[in-house]
Amino acid sequence: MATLTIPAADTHMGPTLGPKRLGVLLFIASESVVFFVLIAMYVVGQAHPNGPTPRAQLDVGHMILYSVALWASSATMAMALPRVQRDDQRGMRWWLLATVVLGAIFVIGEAQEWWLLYQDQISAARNLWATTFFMLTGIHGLHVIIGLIAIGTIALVSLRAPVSKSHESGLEVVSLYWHFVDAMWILIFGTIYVWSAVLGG
Amino acid sequence: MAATVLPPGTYPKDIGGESHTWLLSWVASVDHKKIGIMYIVTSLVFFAAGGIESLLMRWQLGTPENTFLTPDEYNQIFTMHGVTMIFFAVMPFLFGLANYLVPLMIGARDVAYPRLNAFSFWLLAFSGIMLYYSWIGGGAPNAGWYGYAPLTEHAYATSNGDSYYALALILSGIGTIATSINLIVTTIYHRAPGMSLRRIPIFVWMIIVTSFLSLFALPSLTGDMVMVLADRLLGAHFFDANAGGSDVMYQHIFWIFGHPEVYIMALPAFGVMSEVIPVFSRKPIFGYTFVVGSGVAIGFLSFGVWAHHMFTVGMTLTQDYFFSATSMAIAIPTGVKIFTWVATAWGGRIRFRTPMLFAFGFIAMFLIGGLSGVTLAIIPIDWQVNGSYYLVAHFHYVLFGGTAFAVFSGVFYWFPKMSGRMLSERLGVWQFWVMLVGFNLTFFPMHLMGLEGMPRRVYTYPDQLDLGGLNAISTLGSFILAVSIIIFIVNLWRSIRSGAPAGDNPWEAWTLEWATSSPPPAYNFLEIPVATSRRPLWDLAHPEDPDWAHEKEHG
Amino acid sequence: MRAASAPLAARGWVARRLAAAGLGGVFALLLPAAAFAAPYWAVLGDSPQARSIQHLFWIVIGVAFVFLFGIEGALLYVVFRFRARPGDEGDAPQVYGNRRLEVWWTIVPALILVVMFIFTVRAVGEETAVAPNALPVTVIGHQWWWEFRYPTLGVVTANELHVPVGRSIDFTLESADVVHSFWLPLLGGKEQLIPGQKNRWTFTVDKAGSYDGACSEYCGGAHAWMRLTLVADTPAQFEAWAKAQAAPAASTGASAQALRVFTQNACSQCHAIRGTTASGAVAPDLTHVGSRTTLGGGVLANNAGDMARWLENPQAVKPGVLMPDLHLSADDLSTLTAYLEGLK
Repeated sequence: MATLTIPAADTHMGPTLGPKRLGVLLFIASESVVFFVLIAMYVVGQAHPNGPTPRAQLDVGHMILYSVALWASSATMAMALPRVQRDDQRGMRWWLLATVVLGAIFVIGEAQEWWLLYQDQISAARNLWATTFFMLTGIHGLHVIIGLIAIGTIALVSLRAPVSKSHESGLEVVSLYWHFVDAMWILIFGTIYVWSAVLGG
Repeated sequence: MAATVLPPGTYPKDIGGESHTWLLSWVASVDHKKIGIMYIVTSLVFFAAGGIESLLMRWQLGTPENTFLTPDEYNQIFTMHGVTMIFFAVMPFLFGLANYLVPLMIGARDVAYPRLNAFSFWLLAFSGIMLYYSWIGGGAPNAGWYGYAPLTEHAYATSNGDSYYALALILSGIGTIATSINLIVTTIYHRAPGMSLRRIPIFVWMIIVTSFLSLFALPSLTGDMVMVLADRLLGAHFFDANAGGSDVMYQHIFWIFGHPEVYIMALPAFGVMSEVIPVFSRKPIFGYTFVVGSGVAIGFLSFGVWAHHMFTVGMTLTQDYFFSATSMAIAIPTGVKIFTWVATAWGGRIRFRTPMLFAFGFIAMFLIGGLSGVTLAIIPIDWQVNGSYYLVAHFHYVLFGGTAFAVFSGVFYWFPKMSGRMLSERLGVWQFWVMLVGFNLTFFPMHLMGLEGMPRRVYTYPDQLDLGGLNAISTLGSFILAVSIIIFIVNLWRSIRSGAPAGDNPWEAWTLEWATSSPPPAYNFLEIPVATSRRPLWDLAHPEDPDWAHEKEHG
Repeated sequence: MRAASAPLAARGWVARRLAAAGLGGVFALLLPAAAFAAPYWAVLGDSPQARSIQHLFWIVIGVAFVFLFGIEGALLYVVFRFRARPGDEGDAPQVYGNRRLEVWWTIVPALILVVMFIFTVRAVGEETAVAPNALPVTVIGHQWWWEFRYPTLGVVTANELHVPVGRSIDFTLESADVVHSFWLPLLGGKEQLIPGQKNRWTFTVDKAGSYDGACSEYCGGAHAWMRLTLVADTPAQFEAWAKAQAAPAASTGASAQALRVFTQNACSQCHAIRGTTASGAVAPDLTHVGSRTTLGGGVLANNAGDMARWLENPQAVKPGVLMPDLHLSADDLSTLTAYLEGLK
């Protein structure tokens, strides 16, 4: 193509975001639609109280502690990233460990919530509220677990191959996903727990 | 044109090529061109399956009170026909074409994430095979392609078919979302020097809009299907009206996906038209900015029209009016596209080669589907024709008269690039005319059946309704249509074996995919080309009147 | 390299075009012939609501035809005027667009659509207004039959409803199982029957006669045979009909044996016959089954022969129907047929 010598009007310029982070942002945008659908189903389902209700079954004071753990894990994740820039892979690993522990605490809290409901013979098949509750928290919990596996893997792999300083590193990408999962829980926590505590849904 | 093929061994080997067997070179490939071709071949196989299903349906409906198929068989076949054609024929073809062309058109060596690309394809292939496995695994899905709840609840659909349906749509949806992300990121980060967003080919623009539609529409379908599966497998109550579940919510969530989906199937076809018509008219596209802008407008509006599928579910009048108004509004940018194509051909020196024949067939037929679409946006008319054969006629004029004609236009146009060989012009012209006649004989009478009161999705109809004549014509037409497809298959077969060599740029086209060899080498371009304007190869051939000189006045 | 850009053999191409045009002509003549044999809601319409839709339809079709013929005509003109003649290898004059034209062909259709929208709103108003003295009728969709209840008249019937000519009907639409859709093409529009929801619909029939309708939302197995008949009676006829339907069962074929056959074969678990012990509620009320014109959601006419065929093996007549094969003896079959046919 050497014959194409006419100067270009402008040269290619992608945004400074980087292809991997843009990719994961698009993925997150897409994923959030699934959550919006399930949240909408939860809200619509509330119009038909019949059998167990969130008011009777859920305790916002109990779940808030585990929720704070999850939100705190976003902070610890944010602490891990600058460590990479300071060539402190060890410090990064400690912060990632803290993130995984906090995330795991949330998963344990969620599991306990499910177990308590299960002991009251409440499963997704019990009534419409239980159906929407288990689906919403279940799909979210699945996202948390996938995030924990990803963070744990990055921490372990960094023992052999340090995380790169690039803004396009695997850790950067996973941290975006992790903040999304935590932010989504704000919406879900509000819809399920705050609503039932405040309005008695 | 600069030759881009160097002697063997001068450049890096094809990833997954040469060192592997022929089979493995395809199966293990992460080359966007091979993946694109695999998408297209897969879509043609499913197109054939969906076509056979449609012939079975037409045979059953050819005469009143026919007993060729039982209702149970008919219901499975029409469901499979819809699901197959939409998710496993049209979408994979269009995404396959996008996969093949987008990197070439923007002057890139591959997509942004080649391995994710291969993953998307195999997910699609796997979900299609799983869907068809349902015939063996206890019965195919039988609740229609939009599977209105509660028909898919276990109480009404006891075979496993609808579980296969939900799973297949979840999996293929994930694959489509991944491909969409890939195509968007590729276009944003991998454009050749000079290829500004205002210069990328309109096909690429339409693929970007389509990808954004997929990104936000498909997860809605995924959500619906996950809930259907929960109801079926876990005894959940999402769509169980006795427990307070809402079947209208199913419809809303489905059509929030379903209407953008229509444009996911139409916009890439518009893109093909906007490439083919200028090249064969020997003129640039008329009003690039308006063409791109109308495509983007359609993309945005398509998320606000979904409930025009639901004028008969008892929404409030305010809701009805809102969705009627938005649905009429979306006709405006669609109309702009049609005017633009006609204006592009106007004053041209039109070479009526096969791609152009199909392009004109597209405009002529899609126009009918578009206009009947406007009648459907008018609430009271929709009350009459919704759920009738008029609707079946409408969307086949859009999806067959529109998208399928564009698909064949695209195949005849780009097959030489993909294979290095020309398809037979003679067989192509035969295929076009047989298809045009067969298509109209099949689907035009369906308008009248709907006006007469024939509901869709009936396995038979009463003798005394005088619907036999129209149905017989339609059945005859469907077999003529099948003949045109056979002509195409023969053409394809003969060309692959012994077609005339195509050369780099047989149509004297202007976009970058024609700047490399046919078929292109694994890395596409020896040297990354420079996009001097919207039509870099025109600039090359006409240094006295280059395109970029006109960019300021016609930006 | 330009391998195959030799001009097409222009004459052969035109000949093929003419052949195709001829075929198109034949087809254009055939279709109306096949078409106008049957009733069309687009040309007939026996309620003000149906005629309102019809008028709107023809206005919209008229405008659509202007665009259709305009654009298809332009296409044909382009084909003949601007096609490259043999030997004409060059490019056309390069025209990049015309902003003024582009703006116009955006604005003009938009204005036309605004007018259409106003027509739409007006028509919707005409079609949804329920008159104050309307007759309430509840329609309940079942797989695959229709239940009609007249709450003010104490009438329950199936698959065939009667209405008085000239009186507005206020339909309440419900479903017992899946989504159905209530459609009488000549009387104007349709509405879905959705589980857990009550929809409303209305029309006024202004001509006595029998009207054909069907479920038009796919509802599973035997959807095709979920048809219905509406009979529009004069007010006096309707009153007589309603009175007869509200009365308990009185069959000319009634006998102790008939009742025994009916109850012992589990018929009574699904069907009700008012005035007997049979009170099932999941299948059509048979109190006056003999007075209806069809059986099985339109699959058979209602006469002794067809009734016997139906009772002998409903699955053979309407595959998928929820009524089981009863394996009746010949004797029981004729007794039951006479009994049911006698339920006028």
